[in-house]
Amino acid sequence: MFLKNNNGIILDQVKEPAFSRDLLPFLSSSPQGANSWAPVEDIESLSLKQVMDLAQRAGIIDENNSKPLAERLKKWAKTPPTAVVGDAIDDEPYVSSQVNPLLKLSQEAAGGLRILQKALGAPKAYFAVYKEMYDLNTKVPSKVEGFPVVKIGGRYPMEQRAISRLGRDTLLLGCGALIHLYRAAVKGQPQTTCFVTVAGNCIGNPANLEVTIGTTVAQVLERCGLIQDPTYIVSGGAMKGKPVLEPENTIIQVGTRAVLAFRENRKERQYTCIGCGRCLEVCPSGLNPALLYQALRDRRGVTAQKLGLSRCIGCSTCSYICPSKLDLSHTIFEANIKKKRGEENE
Amino acid sequence: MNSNFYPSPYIRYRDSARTIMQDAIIVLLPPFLMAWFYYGLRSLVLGLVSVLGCVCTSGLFSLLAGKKPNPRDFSPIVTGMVIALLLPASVPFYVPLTAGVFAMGVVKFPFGGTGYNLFNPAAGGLAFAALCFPKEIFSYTIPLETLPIVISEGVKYVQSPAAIMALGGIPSIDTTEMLLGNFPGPMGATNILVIGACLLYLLVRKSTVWYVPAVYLGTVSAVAALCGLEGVSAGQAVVLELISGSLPFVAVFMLTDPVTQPKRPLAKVCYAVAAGFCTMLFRYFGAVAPSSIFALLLANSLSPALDAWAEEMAAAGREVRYEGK
Repeated sequence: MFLKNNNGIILDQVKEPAFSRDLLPFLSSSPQGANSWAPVEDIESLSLKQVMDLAQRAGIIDENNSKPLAERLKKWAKTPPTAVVGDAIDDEPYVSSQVNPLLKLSQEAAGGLRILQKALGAPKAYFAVYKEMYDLNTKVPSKVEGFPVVKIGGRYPMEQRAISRLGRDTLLLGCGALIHLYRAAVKGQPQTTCFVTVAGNCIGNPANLEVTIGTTVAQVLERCGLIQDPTYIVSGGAMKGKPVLEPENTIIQVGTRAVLAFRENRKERQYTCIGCGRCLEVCPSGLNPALLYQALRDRRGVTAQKLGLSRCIGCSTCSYICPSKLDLSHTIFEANIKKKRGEENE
Repeated sequence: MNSNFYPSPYIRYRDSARTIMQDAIIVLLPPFLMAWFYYGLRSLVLGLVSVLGCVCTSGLFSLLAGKKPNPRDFSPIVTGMVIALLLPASVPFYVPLTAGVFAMGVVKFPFGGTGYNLFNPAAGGLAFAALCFPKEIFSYTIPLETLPIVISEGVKYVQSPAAIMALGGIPSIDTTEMLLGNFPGPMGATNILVIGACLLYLLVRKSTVWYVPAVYLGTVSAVAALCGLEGVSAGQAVVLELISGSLPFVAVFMLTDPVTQPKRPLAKVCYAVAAGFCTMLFRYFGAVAPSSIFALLLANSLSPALDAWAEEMAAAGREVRYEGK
């Protein structure tokens, strides 16, 4: 009870209407690096080496952590994983840029998973979807092209914790990367696009788009239509996203899972910490965000380190719940990043 | 297209520090209604005096500290209401006023104001009042006899069951009457059923956790069952100890004060146990009353140490969890 690891929060998912709508293409007419190669005849006969070569040539990047797919696979060459999992755990509100392609391009996603299962020789392969989505108009099927869809229940943040839930010897790969792997094998195409959810209360037509990498945020917003002037534009989810200050000069990258535009009155008043301990109750890493925040504000670095600063995963749960509306997570995670960078420079 | 810099997250939970305090105020209203029912309009006037004392003092001290008084900070109102509810309905008006001024001016603001106070302000104010005006605070009137707003001569004072027990006697009151609060005591703290309902509301609103009051009352019952009272069975002793004084009120409204209780669950449990033991020690051997208030103050002083210890335990737990894998 006192050392549990299922802390977190159940969030209103607000995934509709983008979730149920069709995946819309928004492609640039001249994609970069469009030179293609001969498609593979029998995709199930590919060896791991060939898959890695293919992923390398196609420049496929896993949207989960923005790392090249080939690099992720290298680790598993010696000891194959017990299961290959297609990650469609969209646990953040508004974001459905992994589940939506899984449902709309299910053949390609399943094809990608099949290639990897055969190449790695993994006994199991399935897709993982976040369970706590209650506002959906469409039902998530229990099977996609023969692969089971496992629904992972639990509190946000789930995607970052999924690997400990599923077991350390599973390989969790983004659904988008699987689709692009299939395209590279069957159509001989490099990855030039990625999947992005466009939503928020300023967007006229919330939808999931397949966007050419390098499109600007402003273009994407225009595609879906702004119905009111946003106070802030976010790249990424509503919890972990980053503010986009210059939408005209910010481009969509593979790691960009969503573009959100909100109009809200953020002049919320900050109170002093009343010590309610809610941040501590929800922190998935078992930290005490209020104490950490205090230590960082007073520039007591050693104390912050003792309090587990480096364990912060930046999920923003503490800031979300804080009744005093303090910027806990921002302060802590920034300090953590700064410290890690400092260590790297040394 | 303009976009401003705001750090994540971009959605926030609806509760704020103000709504938490609002919850506390809402939950303190039913005891006031019961006090009105038992003692008449005077109880409400007492509450008003106490709240005004707290609010004015806190405003004054904010000004002295060079800050603008924050009208959104409802915590002085809560403190004032708690103070009034723990006093008898017949108490002169200067008692809640003194308690309120002491609570804000000595217990709260010198430590840094809302969120920084080490001791529960209401408990501090009441302790001060109990030491200064013991006669006024421990003379109770009979419930259902409506008091005039200005008390003149001729009001009949009686001893509360808690006082009888402190003298070694056994109060002769029906348990049902005790649950309904129909016995002499602090004007808001005797209605066990109402307080239970209030606790339920606080739990549903997630303003508090269940185990702090539960462990506190559990410790008190365990000690009462083991030591017992002369002339009654262990079970009866537990019931008498639990419902004779202001103990349930303290457990629900004061022990769970977010500012002064420790933050980690482990520390919270230790804190509740410490408060329970101190309460019973004061009841059996102490010369101070109300025992639960003084016990709460002692437990408050422990909570930073408990927090520091629990934080170290948590750090060790993290090491096991992350490095062990």
